Amino acid sequence: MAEQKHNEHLLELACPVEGGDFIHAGEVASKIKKVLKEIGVSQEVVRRTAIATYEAEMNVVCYARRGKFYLTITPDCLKIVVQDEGQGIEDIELAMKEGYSTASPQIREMGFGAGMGLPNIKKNVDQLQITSVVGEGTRLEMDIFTRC
Amino acid sequence: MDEYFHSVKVDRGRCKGTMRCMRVCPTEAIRIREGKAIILEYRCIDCGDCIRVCPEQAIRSVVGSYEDLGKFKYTVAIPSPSLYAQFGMGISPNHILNGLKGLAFNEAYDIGRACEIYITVLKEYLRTYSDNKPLISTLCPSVVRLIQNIFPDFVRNLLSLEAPRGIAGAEVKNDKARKLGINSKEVGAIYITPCPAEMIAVNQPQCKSESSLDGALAISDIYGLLISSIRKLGPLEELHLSSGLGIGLAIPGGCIMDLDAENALAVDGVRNIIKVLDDLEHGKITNIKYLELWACPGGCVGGPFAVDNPYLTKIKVIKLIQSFGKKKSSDEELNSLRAYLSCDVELHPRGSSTLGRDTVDAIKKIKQRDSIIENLPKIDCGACGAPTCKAFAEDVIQGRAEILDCVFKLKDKVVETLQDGLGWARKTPLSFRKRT
Repeated sequence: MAEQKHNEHLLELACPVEGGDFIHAGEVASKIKKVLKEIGVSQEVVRRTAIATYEAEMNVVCYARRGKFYLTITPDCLKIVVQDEGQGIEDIELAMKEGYSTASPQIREMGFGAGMGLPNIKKNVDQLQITSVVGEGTRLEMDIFTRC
Repeated sequence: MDEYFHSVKVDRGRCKGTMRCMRVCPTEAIRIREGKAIILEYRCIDCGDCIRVCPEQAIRSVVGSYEDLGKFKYTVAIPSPSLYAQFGMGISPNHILNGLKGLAFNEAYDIGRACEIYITVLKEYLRTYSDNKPLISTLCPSVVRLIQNIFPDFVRNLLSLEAPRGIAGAEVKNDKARKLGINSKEVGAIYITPCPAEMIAVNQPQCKSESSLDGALAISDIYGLLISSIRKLGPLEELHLSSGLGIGLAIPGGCIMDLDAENALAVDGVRNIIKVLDDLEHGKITNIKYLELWACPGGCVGGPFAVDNPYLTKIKVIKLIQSFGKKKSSDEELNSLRAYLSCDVELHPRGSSTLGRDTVDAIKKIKQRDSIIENLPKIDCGACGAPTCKAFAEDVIQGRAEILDCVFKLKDKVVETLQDGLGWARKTPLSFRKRT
């Protein structure tokens, strides 16, 4: 019963993303943004989340076979976990550097892969945790505090 | 939340509940109740998409009528630049202005100069604008409402300048009052509009506490009369005094080249605008300095009250710009209008997209809505009177509808009730029942 009470304040969403699908790229980020606007969190939180989720979604589209977004919203905090199946990141520290990119020429031609994705995510969230296994995939955990 | 003035209204006598308006509305503001369309005012942005598709002409805009002209001592018609492109090339803006004067007006005023000063000041504004999001044009009142409603974060990027229609109205009223020695309230400045949204601007200007315009007439309402008035014209008075620059405001991108802005973008159609603003929020679109947005496909020449085909009128606008050039008024003439451009009201977000009173309440409602949607057919049939299953689910949680208003849910209920009844019918009276 206590747990149920707690769950009332909790909203969970799970959204799949297909690697290489540039047509629908950005739809998950849009969906998350819409929910946040409906909930009525501050414009600043919507703005930051919109950018972070879009960058994370593009990373899945550009570098992974597939991935999944798990969004948990409580009145105080927004947690977004992105788990993908893909090439993984060899050197996370390097990947966090602005301008560092392993994108293929094709992806760069489409205007992505400028090496700003992860740094941009870090700039817009309150906590970021990245774990990755090369050849298997990457897991991004982003926290955004909505009340502070 | 202060009240919106709305220009788009349903004529219940004519409405047959065909649902076309409901399906086409880009902000899902229309519902069908008792066989008639109703408009959810907090969602409506007065774009007029519904007016275009209604086969019964049952959606109207509150525009003025000739009778209103009697209230003033002196009346001046101020046509939208889009009117200049509604006729064959043989009919010049000067013919049109003379023709308007020949209707029931004391005078017809060319809006061109007001457009020229507007573009000049906008250019200056852009030079000093430094926000990392683009400056967004406010010429189209529907765009302003769309942003206030669903993109509140961009309200701060909306251009804070009085539109040419307002500049022209203020100039006309002051000038005539002075020359005729009457009160400026006795001068009626009447805008000739291609759309219902500009009617809002007349009644509830977005950046001024008081409107300089006194009313509006739809282009389509005066078109026939205007043509006969033009046919009857004798010698022409020189009323068209401006260059072709301002006429460019009638089409998307018509003035962008003249702004010297790096990366200016023009977008038309509400759904296209929503897509672009969405991309802008995600940081997908960057480096744009100026965004010119038009609710109507084709811009003002594509307004619901415009008469001629918007593609043909676009060509005419371009030809008019070429034939009249881009500079005619002196800097002094233009600068005398500068004072009319400043705004005295700030724009605020309206935030109508929020579902609940507070976060916890909203989360509860979103969960309720999503679980309702889960069990709906998701074919957006519209029989419930809402445009989509999602909109219906929202209506349910907001108390505007109940779940059995969905015909599919009702059918399930009937089956359940009948099965229930069959169970009862099969029950044998006690005297016949076998012992178990």
